[in-house]
Amino acid sequence: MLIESFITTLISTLLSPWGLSLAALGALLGIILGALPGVSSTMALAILLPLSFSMDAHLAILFLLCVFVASVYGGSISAILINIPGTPGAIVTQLDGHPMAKAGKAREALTYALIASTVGGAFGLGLLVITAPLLANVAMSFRSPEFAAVAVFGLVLLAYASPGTTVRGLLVGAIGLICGMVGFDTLTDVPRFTFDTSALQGGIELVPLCVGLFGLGEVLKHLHASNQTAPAISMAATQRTRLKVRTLIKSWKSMLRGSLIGAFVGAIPAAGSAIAVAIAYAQEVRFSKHPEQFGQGAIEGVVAPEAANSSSIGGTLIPMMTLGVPGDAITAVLMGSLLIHGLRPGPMLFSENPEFVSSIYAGFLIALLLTLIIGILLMRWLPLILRIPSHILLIGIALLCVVGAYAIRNSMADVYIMLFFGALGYLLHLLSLPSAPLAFGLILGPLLEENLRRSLILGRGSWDIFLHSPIAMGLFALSAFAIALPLLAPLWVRLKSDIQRFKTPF
Amino acid sequence: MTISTFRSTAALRDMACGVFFCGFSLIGLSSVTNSTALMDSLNQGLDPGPALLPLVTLGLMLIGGSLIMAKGLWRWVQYIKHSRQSMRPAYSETCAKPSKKSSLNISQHLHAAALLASLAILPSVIQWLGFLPAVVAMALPWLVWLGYRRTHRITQATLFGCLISSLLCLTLYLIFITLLDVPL
Amino acid sequence: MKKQLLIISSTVLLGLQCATPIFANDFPEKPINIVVPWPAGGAYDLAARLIAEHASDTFSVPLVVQNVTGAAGSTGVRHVANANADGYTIGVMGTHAIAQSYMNPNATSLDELTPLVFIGPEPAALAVSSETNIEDIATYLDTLKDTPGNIINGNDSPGGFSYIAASMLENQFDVELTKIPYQGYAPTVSALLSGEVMSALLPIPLLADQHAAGQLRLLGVAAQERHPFAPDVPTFKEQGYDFIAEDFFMLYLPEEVPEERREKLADMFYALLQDTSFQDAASKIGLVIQPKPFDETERYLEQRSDEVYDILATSGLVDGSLTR
Repeated sequence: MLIESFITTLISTLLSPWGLSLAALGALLGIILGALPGVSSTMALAILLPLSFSMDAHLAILFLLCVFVASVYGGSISAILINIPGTPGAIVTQLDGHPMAKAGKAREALTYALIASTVGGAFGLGLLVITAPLLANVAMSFRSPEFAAVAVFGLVLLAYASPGTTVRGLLVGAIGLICGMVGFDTLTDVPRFTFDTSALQGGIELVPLCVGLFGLGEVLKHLHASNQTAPAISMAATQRTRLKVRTLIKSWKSMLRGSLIGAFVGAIPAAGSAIAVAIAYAQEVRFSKHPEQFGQGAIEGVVAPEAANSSSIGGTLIPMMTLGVPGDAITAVLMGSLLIHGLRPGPMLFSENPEFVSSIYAGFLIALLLTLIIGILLMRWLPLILRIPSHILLIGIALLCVVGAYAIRNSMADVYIMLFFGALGYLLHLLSLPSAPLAFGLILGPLLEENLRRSLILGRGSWDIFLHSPIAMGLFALSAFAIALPLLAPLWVRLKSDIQRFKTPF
Repeated sequence: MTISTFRSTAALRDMACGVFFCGFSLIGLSSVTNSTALMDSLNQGLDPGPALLPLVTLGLMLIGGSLIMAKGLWRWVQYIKHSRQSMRPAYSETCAKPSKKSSLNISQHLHAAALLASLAILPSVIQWLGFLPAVVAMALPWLVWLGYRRTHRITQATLFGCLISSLLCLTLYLIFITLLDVPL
Repeated sequence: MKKQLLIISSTVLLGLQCATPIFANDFPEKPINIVVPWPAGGAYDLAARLIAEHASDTFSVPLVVQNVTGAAGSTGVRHVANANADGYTIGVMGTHAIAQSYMNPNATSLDELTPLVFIGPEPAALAVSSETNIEDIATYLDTLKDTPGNIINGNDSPGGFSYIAASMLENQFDVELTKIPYQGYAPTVSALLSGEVMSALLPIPLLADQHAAGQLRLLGVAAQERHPFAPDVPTFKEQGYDFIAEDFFMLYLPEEVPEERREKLADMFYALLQDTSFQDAASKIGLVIQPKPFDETERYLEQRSDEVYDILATSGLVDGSLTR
């Protein structure tokens, strides 16, 4: 019955020129807004929300879903081309996407991102349709102890996600943890690390940090070299490269893994896409056979987080549709727009308004297809950004960093925070320390602290509460395994290289 | 020579890393211990308190930083020993090389610092002059200077700088202020 | 020549300056910003966007919603307090601003704000998880009286409304809850649904549907009247308990906005809030609209801030430098 009404809505929307053009407009606006640094998917939706007020409810949700899905892909465009994440979900896409663009494979990176995005999105949608009620129950069994275990697992993976030595990566991650603690404590409202300034009471948001660390930091790094005739971003970047279908197919495993992680982490209320991509990337590095390629333009490093990013959309919709609880800030805005149209997502929606449920599914599918089509059409023009002489690009990015950081919360404090992390990013580069763990620490730190402490209060001060949770114990066991593995692996690697050295003298 | 320069820079970098981590954790520790509200929250009730995790993290960071610094010091001592044992030319060579590199570094740091400084004062200039003039005033000199460094043609750089900075600023203005209603 | 120019321009400038009061009647002549201290998607944001959407009937200029978030809502309040006192920046606030003004020495004091128009209350309801066997308020209170702290209650961190509502319940009935803080309402609802916490006092629109689906039980509405979203749930009063806990939405200005502008804004917003099409739209999303004119709003705020201060003071949350 659900499938029947799903197909009828799908066809009726595809056949109505008004609905289709509206959806296409939404997708285009979504890609552009998503690509602008400082405009997250949440903001893109909030900005375009008033446009949907006057629309019919079905069209409004179609339009907003298109904006949502497209903005998620849009975020990776700026991440790949200019190394600034357009949306928080794109923070790890740039770690390998930008090196690819610099190596002259911008189009390739964008295509991989787009395809991974579509695959991940479709995966998330499929999961949403098939398992929504089931997965909602599983996700609901994630209480505070399980959240704490997820954060621990993420932090363990983080240790391997960074190039260079593990200890230094962890120490930089610790800085991220501390940065995540700036502002009001989440449980007691006690201010921490605020140095008695009101600017720091608002805490350090993920986006200004990433814009500073990766965007401005990169500008500062390349500023001096911008006079060289062969600038960092070469002309070759825009050349057509034949897309290697084989490599794409080879990375299907990464895509699938990313999609799974994205959908599942997205389905956990309050987890959100930034955590999903961080974990997806970290596990990809951890279990890759060539971890040294990450950060240098590894395809898996683009594909896995992008798939996770998009499939987390389907994931976040699960608690919203089945429980009436928004999974993150983006779904909160989406839910708000449904409320304005008198539709309340939640347990009653499936029984009272199944048609509307299927129209959301159909809208999601249309949004994915349109994003793919518009993405392909734009692909021809986007890498031209890289043909701009590097000094103009650098100054433009610097200005964009400032304006974008301000636009996130309309707060001057965020601009100074962004500048601070720009300087920090430059410093980390000078000390040859990795900067990505800082962002991961910022994401996972608050998650760990809040849930660990809450678990302890719930367990009346006893750690037994973790023993009673099979999910948490499973995750702890996985973390222990991930720690134990490298203790054995170097022996193996050393043995192998010794054999090789033995075979080829010099 | 390559080995000894490598050793000396690695030793210096280790020490710098150590100082960086230790400094960061000391600043953090001072902030935590100076806050009575935070220190009072330790050992109170069921909640381990908002001070526990920062103290643990900062403590570990201090230990890690000190270890890296110690490693750097040890390497430095090894390097000194090594260069004393080996011939003098090796020593002078290692000295000459970094000096040339460091002049390039200083120019690079100057550029980075200057850009940071100009961006740091930009918000207050925006509030004073308004968005468009302030942003143009910031972007123009930079574009002219960087353009001049590329081509060494002053008029061309100036003309291009004027054109591009006004275009750039207008685009930013249109997107963020007209379209997105950002209150700047 | 230069001197002449200077004289001309300065006289023009002077003339303009003198002329401003005459043009004051034209207020408002540019878009008015409504500052929401919480992220997009929440109840405050929805209320503000709904007002902005319906403004075209009573306002000649557009209303623009800005989310200035952070620091438990105090960043947004400070943004308004520091804005030009020209009437073009208006804020939305609720209980959080009162609580912050007593808990956080860096937050804006209420004296720096001028209340404008009261929009409406947001009543809370007491909900219990369906895993508990508690069916009514009497059993709930008995359970607490038997063993203090026996019920685990989900709420905000100390400055938030649902924390204050829980404290009000404790004070009123002389009981003790185990209060577990969550970051916002949505995680609290999840915790209630998953059974991690046993009860919560939250705004009704967030709970009504789950109540209807049997995923949680609403024991009572802490307001004067029943709520249209859950008409089957009796109020505390109907069940014999005199307990009211409501958050509220209110518009305010920075201090020292010229009186005529303030009056004009208050009149315009009051008219907008009375508008039936606006009220229809608001009731659809579960907002209770009970506008109060300017002077009543001022009285309401004073009364509420006394109430909140007392609760914070008994819980020992008032900052040492801000005690009355």
